[in-house]
Amino acid sequence: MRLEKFTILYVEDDEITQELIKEILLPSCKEVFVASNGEEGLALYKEKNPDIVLSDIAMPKMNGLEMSEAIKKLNPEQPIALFTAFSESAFLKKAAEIGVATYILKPLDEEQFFNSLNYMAIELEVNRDIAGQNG
Amino acid sequence: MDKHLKKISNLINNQNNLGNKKNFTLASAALVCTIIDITQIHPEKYASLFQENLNLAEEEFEKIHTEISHDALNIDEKVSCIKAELNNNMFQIMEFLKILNQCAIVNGCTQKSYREFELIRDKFLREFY
Repeated sequence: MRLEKFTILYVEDDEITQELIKEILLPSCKEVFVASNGEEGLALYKEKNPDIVLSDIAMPKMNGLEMSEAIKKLNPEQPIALFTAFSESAFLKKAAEIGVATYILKPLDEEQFFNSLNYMAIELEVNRDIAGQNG
Repeated sequence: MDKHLKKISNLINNQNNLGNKKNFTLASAALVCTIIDITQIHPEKYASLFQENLNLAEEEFEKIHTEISHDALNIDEKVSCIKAELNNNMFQIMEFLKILNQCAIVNGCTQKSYREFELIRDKFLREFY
């Protein structure tokens, strides 16, 4: 599993979902950092500098899109995936505008979830290889 | 969509070692048409878009449209063709997938389009997961 080399920041306000996804992620990733809203997520992002960010969209204080926009300003190349049921079309339009291109479809299909994470991990590896060759 | 077809066209034109540009173009167009679900939109509009950007003849577009309409398009074959033409170069494959990803998102960002993108993406990458 490629993911074992990568750290993940997971942002979700619903405690039950948070616990469930964390349990799924923990055995496969190097480390998982968890936040309960966008504000906490952004603070944790600055502190931990994770490889991949996963976030819900609708959250109190700062939503997933506002947080993603702030993260993209800090690091435009940061891989971010948003959980969505594809019912929030205005949110998704905005997500595309700020450069979020990976979505995790709700309800969660575990195999598809890991396929999407692996895709992001491959993208990271390829980009790092290229940066290494150029630098 | 125009912008994304141009990107595919640029990708094709920047490949010096493509064995068969026409095969690559046809396979790329078939995957884009699958993602945007060409059966549900105005085929005439897209026929001219594909013609302008990928130099796809009307009858070639029509053949893709018919295959998708009859659920007869062999996606595995198209994926294998593109991977082979890109010499299995992971950077090029990821660049191509980024374009397909954008096609899914700009197409009204529907769940069906995104799901099609995921299915195609996983056919490209499953061996690396």
